[in-house]
Amino acid sequence: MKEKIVPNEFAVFALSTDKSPSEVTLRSSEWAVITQIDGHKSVMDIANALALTKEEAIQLFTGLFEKELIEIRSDVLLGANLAPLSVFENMEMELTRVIGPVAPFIVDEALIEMGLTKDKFVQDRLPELVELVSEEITDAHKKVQFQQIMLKYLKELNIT
Amino acid sequence: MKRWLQEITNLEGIEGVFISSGRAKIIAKLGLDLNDPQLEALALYTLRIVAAFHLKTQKINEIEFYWKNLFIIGRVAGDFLVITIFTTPKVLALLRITLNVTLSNLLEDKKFMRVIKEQAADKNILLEKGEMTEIEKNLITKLK
Repeated sequence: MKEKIVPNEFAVFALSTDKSPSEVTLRSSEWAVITQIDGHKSVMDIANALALTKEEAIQLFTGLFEKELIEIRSDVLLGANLAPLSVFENMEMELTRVIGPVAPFIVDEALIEMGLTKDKFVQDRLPELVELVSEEITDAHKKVQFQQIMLKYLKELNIT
Repeated sequence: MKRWLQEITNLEGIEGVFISSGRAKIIAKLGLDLNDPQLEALALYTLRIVAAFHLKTQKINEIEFYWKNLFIIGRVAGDFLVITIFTTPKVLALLRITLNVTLSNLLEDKKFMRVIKEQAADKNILLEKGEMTEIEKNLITKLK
């Protein structure tokens, strides 16, 4: 099975040259997506054509990619808002104030858990990261303090 | 108080939010079409779930459930309950963080906490009772 990826709505896929859909059992919704994939249409184009929600389409594409039936044609992150690296620096700095020098490792571990890296991190997922990192703060008061500061950073990035 | 509720309703996909007392009385609401009795019913339902967990000695302060195409998150803090109704789970992580911060601010808001404390014991009910029970009379006799 291929590595776990979560495409966004801008991603463009093509049918795999290594594996045919006839080799695996597919649900009717997966077949519908396969028939639409042409190497040009984005996930959102196909979602609209099949009257799927963005979330449903992303789930189907993720499943087909894991079954190695489709390949990424364009960068998965094309058109997505990537989080600036300064966010991670700020997060590590604020977390260090709360839990000490172990903070950068906590952030790195959380990123691994999410299957993402700092340089390709869609900023819409920053709240998840903040929440995951916060779990490591045992003092309830300090946890809220950290979240309050991070909430300000998120607002500055227009994440609402 | 409204400012804190606005912090929540400003998030994408939030239908509305309300605060109820521990007796399911509506203290404040923002962005909701539902009337007070409907909100009270929802608050009561959430409080019952919390109480059921408490009876099992499992202290919980958050409940998330799905109802009629809506997502609902209830947070209990002290003597009050904050219930948020939203339409997309995408906002969940940010909402949970915002709720944490909002609840912390509400707990520090003396004016708000005074309102909540007034709701905790319903003085009217006690005054309307008319007659005192033997236990109450005994207690009064002990007062100096």
